[in-house]
Amino acid sequence: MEILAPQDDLALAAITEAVGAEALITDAAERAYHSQDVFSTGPTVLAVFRPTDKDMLARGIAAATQAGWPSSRGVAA
Amino acid sequence: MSYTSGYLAPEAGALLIDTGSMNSILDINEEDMTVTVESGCTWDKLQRALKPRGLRALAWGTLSGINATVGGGMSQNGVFWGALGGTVVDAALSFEVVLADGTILSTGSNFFRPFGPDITGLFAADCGALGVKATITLKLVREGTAFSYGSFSFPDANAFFSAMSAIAREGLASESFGFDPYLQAQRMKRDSLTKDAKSLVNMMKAQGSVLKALKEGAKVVAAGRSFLDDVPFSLHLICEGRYQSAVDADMKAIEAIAVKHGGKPIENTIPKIMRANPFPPVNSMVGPEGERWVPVHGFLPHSRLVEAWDRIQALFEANKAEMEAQGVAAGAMLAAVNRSTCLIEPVFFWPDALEELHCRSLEPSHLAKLNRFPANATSRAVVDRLRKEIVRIFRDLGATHLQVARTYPLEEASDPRAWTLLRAIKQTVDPQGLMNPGSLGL
Ligand SMILES: Cc1cc2nc3c(=O)[nH]c(=O)nc-3n(C[C@H](O)[C@H](O)[C@H](O)COP(=O)(O)OP(=O)(O)OC[C@H]3O[C@@H](n4cnc5c(N)ncnc54)[C@H](O)[C@@H]3O)c2cc1C
Repeated sequence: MEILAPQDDLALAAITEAVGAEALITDAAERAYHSQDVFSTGPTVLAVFRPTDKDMLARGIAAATQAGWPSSRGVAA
Repeated sequence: MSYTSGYLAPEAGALLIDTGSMNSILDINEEDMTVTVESGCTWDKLQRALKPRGLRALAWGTLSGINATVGGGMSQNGVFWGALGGTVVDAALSFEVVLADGTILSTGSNFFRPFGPDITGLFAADCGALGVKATITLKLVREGTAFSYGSFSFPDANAFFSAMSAIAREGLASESFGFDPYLQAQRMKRDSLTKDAKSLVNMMKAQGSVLKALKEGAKVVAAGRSFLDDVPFSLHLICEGRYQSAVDADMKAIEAIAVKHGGKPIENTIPKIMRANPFPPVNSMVGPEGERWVPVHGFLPHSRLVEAWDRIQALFEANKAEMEAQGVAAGAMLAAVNRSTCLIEPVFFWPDALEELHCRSLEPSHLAKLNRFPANATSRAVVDRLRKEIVRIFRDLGATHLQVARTYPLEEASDPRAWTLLRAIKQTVDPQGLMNPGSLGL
């Protein structure tokens, strides 16, 4: 596990509360793996959200955006 | 399985949503000929569920379908299997999309599209800029029960394109794709023939025809691969239909067109094997020696294919010395997309380090056999530059693209009023710009 910057902690805590810790991956290696596509590597993501159904997906996104996720960051599918 | 930075955030600290655990097939409605899946369902999983029922989606996936999801296909579009029915988003009826505020929007009727302006179409190919697709309803069709396969060799690009276009205009083939001489040679290095024949036999056995399976397998082995030794350009086609006599007649018509344009029939091993195993392991996401691999593509009307091809070849010619010095090579995949459009997809190979994504995606046994190159920013920079120059050539010729994401210039290609409309829609569904910022250039 890795330490997250304080303002990120806030949003992550809100999402965790909404969807449960099991749906979130914050392990450094997994975050790095999920920050690349077949051609490029991008900036490392804060967490990987693995919803198991539509409602959890909606809950997680609502929590992330309502917690004032910094607008320069955002959500990538 | 994409390579246009579609889900790479512009800055560190984003939340990545992995839909891989939302992979259920929710409803196969044989009465109304529709299927509803969760967006993380792969094309391979969907096809395996539909095939025993004699069904498939209207367009039924990309070659990456063992890993690539229906949601990914709907979001950046794609084309391969069932291309006669269109690109993959042409199979879409409706989506449920989670918007930035967490509300769920349904794009419309689950049996007919469009009912009024096409909201499903609006979210199709949005590269995730407008929301996250949660569920997807697709059109079903009966899978064919009769197939005919054909392969042809062409001496040069002119002959190849004129034949591919003429066949496409007639709408004769369910799939129609080809390789330039370089990619052709790469494929031959890559595939093991016995493995191919085995997969064909297994597939046919699974369908219940053991005798036919053994016969076809033997034919593939007997044909070997030497038939491809001196083939410059190759075109491969599949006819899918209800009656053997009908698909054979269509293939005869295809052959007549191919021959008229300078083509020569060769063994039809490639399309036969590919159709038998439509979603193979994605080992081809790296080169046959373990080099890195990346495609770039454009769709063009038949009338502009040769010009595009010549300009791309001229670009390679002008950069020949640098490409050779940096070990950068390029081939091309070519395909017919519909009656008016074909695809030109140059593909680059260069020596460079594999990333974790490649290592996890390749079959372990395949990965173990590959060379491992050190990280090579110089060669990659050459690829990056050439890829961008090809995008410019395509832009000049008015090409269109799948996989827009952060790679193809949609704004520049759009009527300014259309672009303003798109921005207004983005503003409505994602006022704070949180949803995949920068994707589509929004
Ligand atoms: C070996 C190989 C073969 C390939 N063959 C083909 C081919 O035959 N034809 C072809 O067209 N392409 C092909 N591709 C390219 C690629 O695999 C396809 O474009 C595929 O559709 C990507 O799907 P994915 O599920 O991996 O999407 P991803 O790579 O995960 O995402 C692609 C884009 O869609 C968005 N997205 C994904 N899911 C959702 C969702 N639920 N809601 C909203 N947005 C979402 C992402 O943000 C991103 O912008 C191939 C690639 C490889 C490596």
